[in-house]
Amino acid sequence: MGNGYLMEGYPDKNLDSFSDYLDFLWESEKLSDDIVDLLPSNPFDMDMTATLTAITGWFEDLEMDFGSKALGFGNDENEIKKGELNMVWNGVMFYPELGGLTTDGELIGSSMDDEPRDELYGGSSSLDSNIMGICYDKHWISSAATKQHQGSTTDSDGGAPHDALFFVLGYLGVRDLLSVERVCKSLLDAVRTDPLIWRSIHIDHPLSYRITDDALSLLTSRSQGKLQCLSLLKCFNITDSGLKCVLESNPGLTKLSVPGCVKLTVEGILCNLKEVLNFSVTPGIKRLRIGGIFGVTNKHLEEFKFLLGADNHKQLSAHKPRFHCARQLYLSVDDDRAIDIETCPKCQKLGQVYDCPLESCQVTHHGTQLCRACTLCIARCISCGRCLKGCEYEETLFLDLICFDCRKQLLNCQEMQEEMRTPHQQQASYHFCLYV
Amino acid sequence: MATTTTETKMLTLCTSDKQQFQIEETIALQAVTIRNMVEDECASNVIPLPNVNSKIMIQIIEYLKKHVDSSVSKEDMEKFDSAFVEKKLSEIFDIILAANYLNIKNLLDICCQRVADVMKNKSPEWVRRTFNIVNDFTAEEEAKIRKEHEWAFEGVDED
Repeated sequence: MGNGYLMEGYPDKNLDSFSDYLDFLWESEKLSDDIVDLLPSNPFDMDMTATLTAITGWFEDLEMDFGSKALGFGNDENEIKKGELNMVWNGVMFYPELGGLTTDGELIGSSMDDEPRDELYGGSSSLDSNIMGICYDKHWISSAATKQHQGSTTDSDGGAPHDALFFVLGYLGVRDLLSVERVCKSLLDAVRTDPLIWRSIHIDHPLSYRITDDALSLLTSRSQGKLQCLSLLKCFNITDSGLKCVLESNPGLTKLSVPGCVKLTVEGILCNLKEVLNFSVTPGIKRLRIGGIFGVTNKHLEEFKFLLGADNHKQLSAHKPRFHCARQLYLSVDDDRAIDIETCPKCQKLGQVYDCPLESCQVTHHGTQLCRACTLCIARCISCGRCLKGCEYEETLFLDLICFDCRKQLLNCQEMQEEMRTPHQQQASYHFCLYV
Repeated sequence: MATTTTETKMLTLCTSDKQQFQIEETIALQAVTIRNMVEDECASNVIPLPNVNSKIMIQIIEYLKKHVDSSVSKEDMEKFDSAFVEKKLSEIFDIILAANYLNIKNLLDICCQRVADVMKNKSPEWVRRTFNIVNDFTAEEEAKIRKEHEWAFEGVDED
């Protein structure tokens, strides 16, 4: 199953039959008020829930791509001004790539034909999610006000990098490190020979869809076997064998996060984990993130938990609550859960289960009544993660739901941005207004 | 006498430019280097800090004073931190070196993170220009390094 979005067990069904099914629903509605009586229980031998899971999966992925891109610009003062325009292009460049890279062209193709893509080029719909991403980042506002603070620093000796710059290396991301090593010889030396800088490797957009097995192996070799944390966010080109190489040469790895890496298989990951446990004396992997990888069964989950040494009896309340949020659709490796998927208390299916940030939900419900489920069972606001029971909400262009409170905040945020913008950029934000 | 000294015991810090700073011990002890000196009793009443000048020391004391106050909420502390690092990069660099010398982990973290944020998605040329670094590679060397990880550089803004 090269593409995780393909519904498992129904390889011959694609979206066409699904839309037929919807048509069918619509027509029967006209004939009778009580459509349940008229409908066969499972007309096209399809599992509706599985289909919905797959569709939700696409949109979560898409949202994440734009969201993380925007976050990338968030802290970046210099980028902000022209970033407004770049965002559109970056978003667009990535969009068709997604379709190209997944092996199942039909599914992706049918979901985004030319019409919505035209809108993307027009810049309106992609700005929607991009600007939302920016608004989430509180830091953006404060740092934008200080653009002028960065001037050339005057080094007395001039030419050699300031000593303090070497301390900063440990805080840079992979792409920035690869850029910094091209600056001068002493920085190249520092970046290449210090394994501590490479102890933790995190790959996300835009590197995630370019990194290959070979590139990953080259990168991880810089840690000289001391890699502790590897996080690959939606790296479509990483395969089981590529991951195997990394795990073999880095026995000290304790945190592995591969959410949305659709070329990886559950069996492959399981097999890799077993091998690590066999030949290493070190504790092995303790935290695993596989959200967005399809085909995980209860048996897999049990085996994973065993391999990770997860404590089944640990109370849920011992973990930090996990909220649904566009900024971070996948659980961070810093969370103390051993694995990021679990059985949804409502539908009993495996997936990412979210808590409710609302105090009233946390207090009044107990046990099975807890406001805790996958997003299919309990719809949640994409911004604050609250359940939408008894509150007004709206659907965004990306079919995410957003509660009115968050929407209001976003609009306020947008007004603040407008004050800082040139008229030419303001135009872009009006598009945003229409699409929230 | 014992009670008064434990409550408001003062330490004197002497910076590289021979300025003396009198601060409460509880504030100063957040710096691990100072704490070690006091615990090892290798310093008498005046603690010499030859690697820190007075200009930077003033800022570090401002930071330590805020962080010793346990009544400040986490949010307010974060606000203070992000306002604190809004300085010129040259100043931040000096604070980084001082924070490293004094061993104040959190201060080192926020300052390094601030520089890392500024350097995000920047080209090598931008880094050279901003930090006044001379390119000592030959053109061939530079091309070779770039080629090694070429996959990572598609679409990077060259400025």
